[in-house]
Amino acid sequence: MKAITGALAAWKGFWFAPASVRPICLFRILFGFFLTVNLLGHYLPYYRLFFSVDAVYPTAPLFFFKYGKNQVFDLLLLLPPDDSFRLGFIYLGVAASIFMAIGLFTRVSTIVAFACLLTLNNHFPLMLNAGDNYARLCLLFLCFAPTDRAFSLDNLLFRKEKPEQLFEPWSQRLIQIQFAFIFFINWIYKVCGDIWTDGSAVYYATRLTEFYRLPMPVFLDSAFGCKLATWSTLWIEFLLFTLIWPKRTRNYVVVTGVLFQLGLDWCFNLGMFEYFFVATYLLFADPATIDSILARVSRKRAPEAVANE
Amino acid sequence: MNEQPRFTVSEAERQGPVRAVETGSWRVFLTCVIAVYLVVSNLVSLSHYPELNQELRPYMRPLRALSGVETIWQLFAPDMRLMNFHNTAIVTFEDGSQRLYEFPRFDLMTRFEAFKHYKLQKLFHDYMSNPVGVAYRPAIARYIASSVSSPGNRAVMVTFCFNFASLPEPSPERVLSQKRLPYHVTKDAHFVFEVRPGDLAE
Repeated sequence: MKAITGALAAWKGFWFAPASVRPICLFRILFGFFLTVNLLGHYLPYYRLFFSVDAVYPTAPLFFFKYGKNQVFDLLLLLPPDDSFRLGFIYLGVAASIFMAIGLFTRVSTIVAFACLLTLNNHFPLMLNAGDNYARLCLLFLCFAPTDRAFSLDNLLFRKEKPEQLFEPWSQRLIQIQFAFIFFINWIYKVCGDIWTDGSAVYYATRLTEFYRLPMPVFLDSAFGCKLATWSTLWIEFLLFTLIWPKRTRNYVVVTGVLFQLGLDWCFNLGMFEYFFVATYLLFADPATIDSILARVSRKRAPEAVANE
Repeated sequence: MNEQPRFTVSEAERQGPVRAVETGSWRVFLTCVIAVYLVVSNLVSLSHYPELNQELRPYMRPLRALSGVETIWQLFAPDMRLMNFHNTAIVTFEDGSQRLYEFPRFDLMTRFEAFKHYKLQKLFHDYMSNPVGVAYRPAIARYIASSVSSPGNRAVMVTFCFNFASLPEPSPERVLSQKRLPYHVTKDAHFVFEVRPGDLAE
C-alpha cells in the first residue's frame, strides 16, 4: 500500500508540482526561431512542388495511400483551390511562429502555428523527417503551457503586473518525456542492431554521401575512430534518457547532449532535426542557472530563482 | 538595494498570487490523457518486430491523421543502408529519342545547397528507391513526363534507374576513406511507366 501511495505521490510531483515558467518560455523563443527558419528555409521554397494545386503528387491518391479512408486534419482543403491562398497559408504559419518566438499573442499564435504545421505535414507527408514529427509534437504540448508569462511581448504590452512565475509543468514534462523516449527507443533499436554492437555503424553512417555536411573529423577515417564514435554514441544516448533526470548529473548530461547534437549536425545534413533537439535541452535547465546567465548577460543582479523541483 | 526574498517551492506557492486550485478530477483527467498518450505514441514505436508494428499502425492511422501524434523513431537504427546511390529517369519520346533526368544529387551539391534543398531528399532520394515508395512512383513519372514533353514530341515512356555502389565491409584495422568511395556503377531499371495521353498536362 505504501508503495502505491509513494508511486502516486511521485507521479503527482513529477507532472503537477509547481515549476518555474522560465525554462519553457526560453524554449518557446528558441523553438519558435528554429520553426520559423524551418518554414522559411525548407517549406516555403517548395510550396509549389509540395502544396500547390498542381503539386508533384495529387492529394486524393496520396491521402488514400497514406491515411486510408480516415479523416485528415488539412486546412488547405478548406481554402479555395488557388495557389495564392496556399502560399498565404504558409506565410500565416511563418507569422504565427515569429509571433510565438517573440511572445506576441503567444497562446493564439502557438495554436495557429500548430494548426499550420499539422496541416502542412498532413498535406504532404512524403517530405517529413523525424525533426518535423518532433517539432509537431513539441508545438502540440506548447499549446497547453503558459509560455507567455516570461520573456514575452505580451508581458510588456498587455500586463500591468508580473504574472505568476510558477505553473503545473505537465506539458513541459511531456516534451521532456518525449525527448527522453526518443533516445530510449533509439538506444533499444541500436543495441539490437549488429552494426552498432560490432562498432561499424559510424563507419557506414559517415560514408552515406547524401548526408555530408561539413568536412568530417579525420579520426573517422580510422577503424579505431569509427568504433570509438559508435560506442560513444550508444553511451551518450543512454545518458540522455537516464542521467538527464537526476539534478546532480543533469547539467553535465545537458552539456554533453548539446555537444553531441552539434557534432551530429556538423557531420550530417538532417535539416532542422538537431536544432529542435538542442532547443529542448533548455527545458532541463535549472531556472537558477538561467537567471544567473541572464543576469551576467544583462549585467544586472539575478532575481532569486525558484527551484525547478 | 531592491533585495528579493529567496523562496523554496512550497514557500513560493504560499507567497504567490491567489489562483484557482486545480481540482482533483482535472488532474485525474490529465493523468489519463498523459497515460494514453505515452502508450499510444511511444510504446508502439518500441515494438521491434515489424509484424507487430504493421498490425498496430492501421489503428494509429486515424489518430495520426487528426492529431499528428503517431511517431516512429528509428534514426540510423537498428540497421543502416550499406550503400550509396542516386536515382535517374530515362524519358523516351515518340520519335525514339531519349533524355536522361537526374534526380537531385545531394552528394554533388555544396553544403549550403544540400541544406536548402533538404526537403527534396526524402521524396526524390528515399521514397523513389525504397519499397515503401512504390505506390508514389507513377505520379513522379507523370510529373517528369509532363515537364519534358512537348506537343511536337511527346514522352511515351519513363524508366526509373537505381544506380548504386555497396560500401565495403570495414576490416578490424582499416576502413575505406571517405574520399575514396566507389562510384555508383551498378544500375538497375526498377520501374517502367508507359505514358498515356491523359497523363500529360497540356
